[in-house]
Amino acid sequence: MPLPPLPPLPVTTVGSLPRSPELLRALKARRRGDLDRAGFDAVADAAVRDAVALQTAAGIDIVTDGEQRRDNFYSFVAEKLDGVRAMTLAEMLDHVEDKAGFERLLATLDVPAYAITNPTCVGPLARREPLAADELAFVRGLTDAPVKVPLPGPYLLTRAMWVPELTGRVYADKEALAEDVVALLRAEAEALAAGGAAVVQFDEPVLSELVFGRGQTRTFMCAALAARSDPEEELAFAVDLINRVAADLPVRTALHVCRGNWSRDERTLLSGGYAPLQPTFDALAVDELVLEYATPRAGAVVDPGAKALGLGVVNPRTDEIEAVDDIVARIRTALDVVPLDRLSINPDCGFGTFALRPMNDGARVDGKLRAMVAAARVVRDDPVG
Amino acid sequence: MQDVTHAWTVRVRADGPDDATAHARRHVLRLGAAAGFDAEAPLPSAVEALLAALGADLLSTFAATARRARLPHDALEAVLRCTLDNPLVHLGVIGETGSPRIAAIDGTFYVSSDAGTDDIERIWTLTRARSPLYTTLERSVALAVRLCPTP
Repeated sequence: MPLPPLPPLPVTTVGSLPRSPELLRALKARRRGDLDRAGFDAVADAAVRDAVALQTAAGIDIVTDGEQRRDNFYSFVAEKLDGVRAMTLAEMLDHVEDKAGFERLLATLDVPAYAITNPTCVGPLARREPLAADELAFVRGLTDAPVKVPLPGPYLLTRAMWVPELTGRVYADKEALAEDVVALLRAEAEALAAGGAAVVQFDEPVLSELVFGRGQTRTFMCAALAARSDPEEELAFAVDLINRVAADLPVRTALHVCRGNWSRDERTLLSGGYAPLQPTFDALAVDELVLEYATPRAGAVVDPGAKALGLGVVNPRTDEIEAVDDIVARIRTALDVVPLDRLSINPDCGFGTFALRPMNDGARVDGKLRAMVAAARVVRDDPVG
Repeated sequence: MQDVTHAWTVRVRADGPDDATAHARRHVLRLGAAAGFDAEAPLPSAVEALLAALGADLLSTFAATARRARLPHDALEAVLRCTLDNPLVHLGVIGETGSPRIAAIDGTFYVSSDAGTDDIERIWTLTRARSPLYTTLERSVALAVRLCPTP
């Protein structure tokens, strides 16, 4: 599915932006039950206006709502679905099988177990309200710019939701749970297409853990949950789920795969090029791959084949604003592999994937967005250099 | 001055080589080896129980101190680690010398609060001064628990 008319090399984000202190207070009050939905929405609406204004002022071509209403990129579904309970990892320690592995992960990332919530399936899944269609409608009321909506991918959600001790009482196995996850996400993506989304992005970060994770420190909380079988089988399972959600949707689809975005300590994040995932990428029925390339950990640019590539060019986890010349050089290197009309520009990942653990502040986010926009303009005018 | 003298009693019964049951008032705790080295051991070790007790003490004392100071907080969590001077002495390895004593305890005390860092640090200082186990252990062990405020 093509994008709406845009300049070549459109600039976008992966989705999330840091939340204001006021919004963080509202998120926590909402979680405690001290703030009703209307009260939260009043704060969140203002935050989304600011997020869109920030992107618009920076010259971003495809905007998001900054995931301002979400506590993290996948657990927010708990509030929207029947059968799902948002559990902190502190609560989940009572239920996960690999408690020692969980503890090692938490210690490595220097994170309290209360700080991350996971959407755990505790009953039959049913859509209580839209996952993101209402977010889209609100943003479209603020801007005429094309809007991207990130959704957790079906493999990520299935793996995160499946906690055998709890979910096994409801679903026979992970595959049975996946059937309902696929149906829910497919319906949501169709609603987003009908609602005028320009891009629906599915976040599947755990794919990288499957190929890079062996022998490395785990970096994704949800990857410590479902017992891992053969990685090849898991990848085939993931491709099947993603394709059943994304294939032939009447909207441009993107898939984001990163190597972790919890810590600024690069040593705790996965390392390795995307080449081992190339067969998986080739088998995916999505229009665009949104990948991170701003750090040496990412290796050489993979050939996305007929797909478009969202090229990560700034690191969301650093203080320094990348030099425009450096970003230009990265883009020109990628042009050796991907033609200009199939390349877009983005940060490596979100700036606020987890609301309570933003990777940067608003001023640096603004600087990084403007650096990407400036670099894209240089390359548009002179792709070869 | 109010007389707040009190003594606590725990009765611990051996149920097996690495299996003990402790009775404290109407509560029951089960513990395993003195210092467990088997990750699959069915019961926590006495060393782990000591760390758990220190953690629980700090959490409880912080919560009580914060409540008195009207400092709001959403969540508290402690992570504690320790090492022994020479665990081989504890295992009775011939030729090993030194002490099986706890050499050091370190860890992190996480506080999720909207309060300012200075206010949280003030409560943390009072917590350490009022904690029975912290004040006892700091006299005999290298004890370093880091405060980590989070949003």
